[in-house]
Amino acid sequence: MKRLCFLSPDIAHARNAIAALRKTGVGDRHLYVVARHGVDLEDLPDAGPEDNDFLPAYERGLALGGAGGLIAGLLMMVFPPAGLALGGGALIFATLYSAGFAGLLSGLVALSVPSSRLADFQDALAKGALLILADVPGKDIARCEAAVRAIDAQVEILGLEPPAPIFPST
Amino acid sequence: MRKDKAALRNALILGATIVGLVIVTIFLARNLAG
Repeated sequence: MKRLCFLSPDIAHARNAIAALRKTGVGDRHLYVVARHGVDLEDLPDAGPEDNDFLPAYERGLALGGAGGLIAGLLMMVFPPAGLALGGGALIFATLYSAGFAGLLSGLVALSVPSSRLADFQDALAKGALLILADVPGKDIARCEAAVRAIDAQVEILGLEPPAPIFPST
Repeated sequence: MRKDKAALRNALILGATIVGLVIVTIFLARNLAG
């Protein structure tokens, strides 16, 4: 699967492009339309998990928090606080606890932040354009690109490989 | 609505994280008390 993405200037254009992609056999669950808040997508497929930055931020939080906790745990073992004898359990505890806590906090914060993977398109989205993402099997890429270009010859189609998700996407 | 499904999944992940943190805390508290 390769992710194709392109900007539609308005909803009518987006509807035509989505219809063209559907005709080439791309299912609705592989299509996403991202728009700024307040734009009514009507019958177009919504952004789903692309709407906010939760998962990438949660993963970053887990990784950074876990690494930070591990270092803190090692420091606690090397320089134990007065009166406490710390073993391997404390190291595991510090790692797990800070990983979980950092994941929780960064995930919560990211729920209100637009997806960082779509940062390049934020300006266009703010101006009212719609971003269309389509996950297309490798063999169908050329066909899908041709279908979209038949609607609008000037459209700039970018390929964006989706990173392998840690959690299965909905 | 896929947005709702994604929100539900996010909530499940957050809930599981909180439950994990609580379990780790209880485990630690029991160890410290014992």
